[in-house]
Amino acid sequence: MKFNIDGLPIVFPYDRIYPEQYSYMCDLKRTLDAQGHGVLEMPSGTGKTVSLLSLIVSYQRHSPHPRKLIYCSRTVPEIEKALSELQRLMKYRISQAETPEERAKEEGFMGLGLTSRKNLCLHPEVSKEKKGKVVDARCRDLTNSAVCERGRADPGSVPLCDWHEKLGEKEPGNLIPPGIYTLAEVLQYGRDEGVCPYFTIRRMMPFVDVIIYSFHYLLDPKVAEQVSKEFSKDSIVVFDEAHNIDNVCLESLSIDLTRPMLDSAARSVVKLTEKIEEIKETDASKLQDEYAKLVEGLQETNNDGPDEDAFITNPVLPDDLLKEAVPGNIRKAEHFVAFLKRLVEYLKTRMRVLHVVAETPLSFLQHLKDITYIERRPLRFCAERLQSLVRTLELSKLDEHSALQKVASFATLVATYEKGFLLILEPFETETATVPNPIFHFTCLDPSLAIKPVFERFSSVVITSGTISPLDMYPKMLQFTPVIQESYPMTLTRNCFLPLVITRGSDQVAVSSRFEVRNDPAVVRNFGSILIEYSKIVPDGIVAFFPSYLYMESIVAAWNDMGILNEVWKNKLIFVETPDANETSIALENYRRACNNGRGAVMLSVARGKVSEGIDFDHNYGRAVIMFGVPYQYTQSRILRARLEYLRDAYRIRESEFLAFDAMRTAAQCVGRVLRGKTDWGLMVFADKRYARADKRAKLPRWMNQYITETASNLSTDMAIVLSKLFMRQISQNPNENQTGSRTRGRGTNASR
Amino acid sequence: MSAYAAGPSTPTPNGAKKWLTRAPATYNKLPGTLFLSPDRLVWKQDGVPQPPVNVQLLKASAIFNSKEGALPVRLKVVFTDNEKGFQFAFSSPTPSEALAQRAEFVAHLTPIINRNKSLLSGSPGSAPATPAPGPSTPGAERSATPGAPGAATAIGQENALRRSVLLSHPDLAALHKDLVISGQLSESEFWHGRAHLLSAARAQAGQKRGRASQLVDPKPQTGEGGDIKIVITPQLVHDIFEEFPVVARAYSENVPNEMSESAFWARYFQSALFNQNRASTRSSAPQHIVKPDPILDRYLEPDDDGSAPRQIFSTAVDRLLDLGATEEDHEETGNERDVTMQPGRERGILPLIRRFNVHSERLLQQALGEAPAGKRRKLEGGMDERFDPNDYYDEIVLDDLIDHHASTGVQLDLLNSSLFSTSTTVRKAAGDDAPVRTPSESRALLADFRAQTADYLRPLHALKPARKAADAALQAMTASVQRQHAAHAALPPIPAEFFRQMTTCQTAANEFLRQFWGAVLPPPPPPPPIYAGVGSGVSGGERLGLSNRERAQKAQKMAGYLARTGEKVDALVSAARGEGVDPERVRAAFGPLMSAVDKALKLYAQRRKKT
Repeated sequence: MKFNIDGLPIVFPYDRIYPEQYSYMCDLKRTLDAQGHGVLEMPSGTGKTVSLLSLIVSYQRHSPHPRKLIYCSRTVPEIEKALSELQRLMKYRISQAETPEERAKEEGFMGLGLTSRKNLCLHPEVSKEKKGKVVDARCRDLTNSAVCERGRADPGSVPLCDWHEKLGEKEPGNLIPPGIYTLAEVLQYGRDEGVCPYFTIRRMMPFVDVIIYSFHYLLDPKVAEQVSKEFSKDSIVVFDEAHNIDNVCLESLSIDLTRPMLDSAARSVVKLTEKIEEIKETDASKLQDEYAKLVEGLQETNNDGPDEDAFITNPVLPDDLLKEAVPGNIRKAEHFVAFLKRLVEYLKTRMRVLHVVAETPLSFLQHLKDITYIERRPLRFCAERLQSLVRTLELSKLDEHSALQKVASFATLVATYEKGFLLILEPFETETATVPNPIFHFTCLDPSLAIKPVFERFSSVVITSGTISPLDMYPKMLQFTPVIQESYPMTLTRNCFLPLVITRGSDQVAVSSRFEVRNDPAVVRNFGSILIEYSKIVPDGIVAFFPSYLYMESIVAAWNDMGILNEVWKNKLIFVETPDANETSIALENYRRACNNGRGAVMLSVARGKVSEGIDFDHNYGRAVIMFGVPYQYTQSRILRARLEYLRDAYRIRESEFLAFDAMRTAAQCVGRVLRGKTDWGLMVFADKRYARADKRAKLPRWMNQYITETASNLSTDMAIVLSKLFMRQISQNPNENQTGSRTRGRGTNASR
Repeated sequence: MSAYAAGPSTPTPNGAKKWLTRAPATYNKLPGTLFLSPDRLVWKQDGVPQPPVNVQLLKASAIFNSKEGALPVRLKVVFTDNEKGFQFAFSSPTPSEALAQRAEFVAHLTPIINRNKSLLSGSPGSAPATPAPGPSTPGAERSATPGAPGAATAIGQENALRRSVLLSHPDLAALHKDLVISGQLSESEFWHGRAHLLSAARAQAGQKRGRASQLVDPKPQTGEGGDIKIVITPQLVHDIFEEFPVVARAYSENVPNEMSESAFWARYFQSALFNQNRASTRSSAPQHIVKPDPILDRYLEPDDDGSAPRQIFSTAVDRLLDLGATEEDHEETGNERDVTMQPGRERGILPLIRRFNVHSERLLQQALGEAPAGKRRKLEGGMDERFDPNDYYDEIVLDDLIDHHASTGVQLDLLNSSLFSTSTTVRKAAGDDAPVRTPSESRALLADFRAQTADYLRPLHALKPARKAADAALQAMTASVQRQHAAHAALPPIPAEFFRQMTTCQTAANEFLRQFWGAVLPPPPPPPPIYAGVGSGVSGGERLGLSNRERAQKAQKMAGYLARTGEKVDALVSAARGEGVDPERVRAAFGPLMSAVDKALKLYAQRRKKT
């Protein structure tokens, strides 16, 4: 359909539109018009992505100076889905074009997605590597400019990547015909044409209208500098599924060092020393050139290489600093290596301490200076200097030096930030452990640090998700001022989901995942009987989420011993999330087959885990989702405690408030995955007595909370089952049934059995 | 014989007509060639221009084969109106060639015959198409082709389904008895529009009981003397072998050479191997019971408790479920997750969790068959992964926002269409070559219309009903309902038998109405493919809908029945006096029905006048 919003012609690829989609688009347009930032919460499954893309593409098409759309999502499946949505939208726009010129314009629209080399590599050997890091390193060995130069001058002297070479023959900016490509299609294109999909995308990025990739490519400074630095300031940035954006921000600036890593870093230092000696004898001018360049400043050394050469950068350094000369004491290669050696040795010494240490970057730097005479300024240049050295030495197999790179990044970060970070040394993994396994956490406490460059650089940043309540929390944590901040209620012709709060078992014993009672046999049994009862009455798929891996694993063992799972086996197949991603994917696939087949299955997984992010359990894949317990974070964690303290001191966010907010957004995220579209339906079961409290529920998204009735907020298992049965009986009636008995059926009316 | 079959428009076998297959064959011991087209079977004698056999296949009811290996290779085709049928012998020089040719004919004929049978089964009174024994020597022919009995049971199934639906719906059964058994409606007419009942029953009947899905975990029972006993049944042995291939391997390699069967089981249940296979994390068997076993311990596998599974999965997973791709999407960053969020810390539980997944997968595999075709994207040649972008669409498309019922619309049935003859459609229909409106004209027209109607709602906003009047109206209504209710309660009851007669009359007329409107109104949209698959085959005729002529005939028939409803009601009214019921009450009861019937008849009369 086509319609107008304030004079902006919109093409929407459906025959109808939900009211919330319309108001979402109106608000989005206002945000873009105002060139400001926005926080928008739209109920899960009501077509948020398509509304967003439809409006922004219409906006791009209408404006004389199209602004590029940078669309960030969390997971590869979500990126793939967003690309597919965009593709569908453009197909529709082409079909709706009124004139041939318009049609040609629509056909020239380009959209691509970006992911790692590991996911896009076609090289027969490199792509077989298990680890992404190794794929990256081997790819660089085959594609960096020095190797290419040598290989082209003297074919056969060094191995090159055919796919990459083939790409070089093509005209830049025209590597792939215009259109929208999903990741799978780019791979297929690369296979058909014999070109490298990864570099096709990388080199086409300046020419596309829409780029879709994961949060990290914009938030993680190490990556952002490589892939995202060329985007113009008026680009529109969208963070979809952004309910966890603060965690991504923190992750991108935090680093862990372990003893094996330091050992590996020390070995790398030795190798570097040897390499320098070797070069000195064969080609001493190289080192001289590097030295000369470093006197000029880092800017020059970094900006001359193409994408293939970039491997680690550190954009936390402001531009003016990059223009400065590198401090004299690390300019010479051998001096820098000696410097690194001292640093690594120092860190190793720190690891020997057998009690927990927490200190600020400033105190760490002071101590470092006292012991090793390492100053703050050279430390700041550590990562950049290492990059320059690696390039000069033309090192291959960079993955072997990743530990040293990490140490260098650590050095740069610790010397750059005074506030918002903490260093924590934990000699033991757990309280009860006796064998030391020290970890040196360098942890970022302030999520606004990583996202600050994004807000500063781009005029419109939209943060959106299905579950991003309470809305004011995000501007507070991320330190920005939105022009629009809105949550849309869900308009329903019939209640297509039923949220229920189970506070106690049929025996009236309260259920809770609170630490003190969670392993109480009565609680475990009552949780188990919730699963049994629902597996009896709910058709097709049930998803259950636990607050942590530890709890899920122990409760699965307990249920098995108590015979509870035997009861569940009678009704449904059981699949469980495992530590391995691929193994879990296969379990998920089998789970879906069992749901399609009518056999029905239960999927046991963990809130904040792999499955809870980016996998949909809509329609028959999830007729009920059970949240066992409240998914609070582990409050004994020192990192979390430090973060809470920081939030309290810096932003006046109370600890309990943040913990409850975090738990409820996670719970909402888990249960929200059961809906897609309003003809879909599902049960949402919150099993913990703490959900009965209104202040907890108030932190749920409005669209969810408004359907929790007073009666449904404090139920025992048997009462909940009665309500659920009633709900399913009502929802299974086909609203479209007409009098002659012929029906219009959707997928999922099989619920009536 | 040739006169019987040759139609007026005899196609020449050598012509441009498309033959499904052809083969040299003798008929009545004369050499010739047999041809098969989708609707005809033709045999042409060598050197004779006019084919002596040229029959339509519409009435073919069965085919018969001579025994495999018997010579000559014969094929017989019988027809509903010609039970003797035609018998051909394939005359290719080698028997194997002749057999292959016959197989081809059979393959083409079987679906045709099945289709014929299903059409026949729909009409009542037609004899079931049982193959009559042929005149040829018994033993030289088999009863029927492999396809034919399948079709026969399909008809039987359909009937059984209908019977089961009737059994579970007593009301429907009563109606069926009144209308179909009495011959007013045909069986297929009755079921027309009730296909969903049949498909539901079919789905239900098609459900097979699967295997019990509990884990194989024999529990030892403690006997009187404290000795531990496990009862082994053949089923248990089978389950154990299936669940633990390693035990099956141990068994086949060691029994009976190394040890006897009973010794094997005795040792197995005491071995570490058994303990490893138990569905438990905590080793509930005390350590001293587990005896080291030199033979069975060889089959022990290291516990599968690493965070990566020992079994390497080579299959590519669905891209939208690929969690690994997300893990490899960017470099790992950030701090390690806290202890509670590190998966697989509880080492002991991992093998059990893996066993759950593997066990579920195995059960699924048994139920669905090995290759989950279509759903899983297949690997083609190493890592190559074929891909169809539309696969994603069913994951992203919001079905309820698509207007599935967008139809061309029903043309308004204007009473005095001449008054509106200015409209384009009528002009066009009249063959007038007047130019169609240009888009800009249409737009202008729309704008005009919009301007005229822009404020038609305004007066409604101004409307403020007086409160008193509204209250009074409500009271009057309530009082009237009360009065009616009281009057109704005071009436004497209707005798049960008479009431039953009334109900029968009512439901029958309702059914006629339903059939009538079903034939008159535009057909409903076809059901979505998911259900079309379920009901393929036998009931295809109902599903595909009727042709226009059939619909017209049906409407006429139903209109005839409806026209007689008045008489029936009158009969009941006059009978009412005898039963002691006020005739006016009976008439009033049938009032709505009669008005519905009148409406139907009026519309029908109008339509007839038009055509």
